[in-house]
Amino acid sequence: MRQGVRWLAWAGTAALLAFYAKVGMLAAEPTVGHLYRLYYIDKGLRDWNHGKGPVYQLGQELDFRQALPFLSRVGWAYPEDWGTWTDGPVAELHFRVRGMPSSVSMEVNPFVAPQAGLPAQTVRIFANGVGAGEYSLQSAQTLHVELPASAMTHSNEFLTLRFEMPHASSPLKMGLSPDGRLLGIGVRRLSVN
Amino acid sequence: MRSMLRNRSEPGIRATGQPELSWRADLAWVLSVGVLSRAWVFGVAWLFNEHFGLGRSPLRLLCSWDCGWYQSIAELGYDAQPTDHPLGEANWAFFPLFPLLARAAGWATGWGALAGGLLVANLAFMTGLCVLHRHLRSRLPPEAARFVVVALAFSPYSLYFSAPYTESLYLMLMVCAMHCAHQRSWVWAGLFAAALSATRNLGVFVVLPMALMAVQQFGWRALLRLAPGTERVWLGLALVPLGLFMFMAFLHHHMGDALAFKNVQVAWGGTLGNPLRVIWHAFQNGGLYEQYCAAAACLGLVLGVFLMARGWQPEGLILIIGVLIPAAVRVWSAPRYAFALYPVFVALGVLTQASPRLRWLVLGLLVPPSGFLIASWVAQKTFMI
Repeated sequence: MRQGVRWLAWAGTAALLAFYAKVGMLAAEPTVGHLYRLYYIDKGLRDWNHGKGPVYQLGQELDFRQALPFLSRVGWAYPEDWGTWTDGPVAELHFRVRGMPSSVSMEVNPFVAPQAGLPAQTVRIFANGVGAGEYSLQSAQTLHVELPASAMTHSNEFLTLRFEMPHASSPLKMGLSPDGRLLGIGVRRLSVN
Repeated sequence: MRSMLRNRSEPGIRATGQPELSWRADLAWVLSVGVLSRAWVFGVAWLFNEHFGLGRSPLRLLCSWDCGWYQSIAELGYDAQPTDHPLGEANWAFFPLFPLLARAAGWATGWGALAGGLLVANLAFMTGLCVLHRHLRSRLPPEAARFVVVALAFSPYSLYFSAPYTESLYLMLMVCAMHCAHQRSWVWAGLFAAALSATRNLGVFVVLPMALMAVQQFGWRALLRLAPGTERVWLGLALVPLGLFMFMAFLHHHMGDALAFKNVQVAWGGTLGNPLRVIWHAFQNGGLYEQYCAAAACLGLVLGVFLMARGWQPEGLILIIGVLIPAAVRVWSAPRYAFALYPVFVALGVLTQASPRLRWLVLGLLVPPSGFLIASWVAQKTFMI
């Protein structure tokens, strides 16, 4: 009898652990939409916007002197009176678009300090994970980036532009000013066409 | 349940007749304290409401802040998708046991979910007080055990035990789980702890003090060798996350994300950080209220360490976990989370064991702030969230 109770306890424990493993597997594979994943799980989006997300009209010019709902939660500094700096080695922009975007036009100002050994800022751009170009920027300019057609194939109306800046650096670290942000590029204006 | 509450270290307790009488007298005394303290909470709330013309109905007298979320779950169930809030808040953040019981009580009485919630909260508080006293009787001198009960009942944050919030259910289930584990009723302890993990996201962490208690009782070697007699401990410990995982399974089938209770925190701006850094940051850069919250968190940690040093390791661990994990998200709710945990009052009971005067002094210091906080709650002050 005592032995039976023991085995029952072990069987109960094993059943509970199996149940937890099953639920754990379910938790690893949420069955949710792209917007939900972007906002709640990846925590990439800043603005839920009543469930509509970062709605963008193709051709609309974005002024980075204002707080914009398209910017990822991390990777961007606060807007300033000229535009917004990226803050960190990676920054993203998210758009919910109708239609097929083909190119991006953006006015950028790279953070460079030749006197401190940073003559140019490298920027790699990805559209929905597909490489769209790599640039070595030495001065303020307007970039025209062609988006690969394959980028929008399975994107379900969403365009994510990812900027990777491996040489992002802080003026503080370079002895230029007390600014501790990891600056890469400053964006003034951007439009997706 | 009765057998669960019986103290195994006192065999023959019912045979002599005298301890049984004492048990009943104790029960009557604890219930009187509970009723008096609730009269104080509702009385102050009612007076404040009347005096300042806040226009709250008796039913909604203590229904502030998250009360609306619990009411929505009890009446309408969980959201299938985020509500129309611009930031995407949804009621998945709130665990299901309390609103389920509120709904059941509202249905059984015919008074509705909000009244059901009030009923559940206050009954759970009374039960929690009784079990706490029972739990402490064998471990503290009688006067100290009674002091702990009075201090908890009249503590500044005890208003949350009467509001339609999870605090009182959490208290009751926590005390029941710890009492059962202490009495070596490990399956009962596991069942209460499973209910606890369905009450609040912090509930599942009771597994740590329970595991500590198991090591104290059996030794880690016996536990790891799966020695005879430890199977009930392992079953009890394995039961702890059951409430949480059932909620996760429900969320997955209801709206697709088993971790929605955690992920939805982003809508309130909650992100996990280093709790000690959060507390330090509040001291350095916060306003007066943040500094108060940080100080409350530090006091909770100090009391937790004190309990551990005085042989109350599981209770100390409850307190340390109860401070650090909420502080990892934000420091704002630290006083409410810490000072509604019973180990705080156990620590005060241990501290004042030798001095009845000190007990009166502590009670004198606890009661006035409770009046202020009740008034602030009724007035929906944001620092009471």
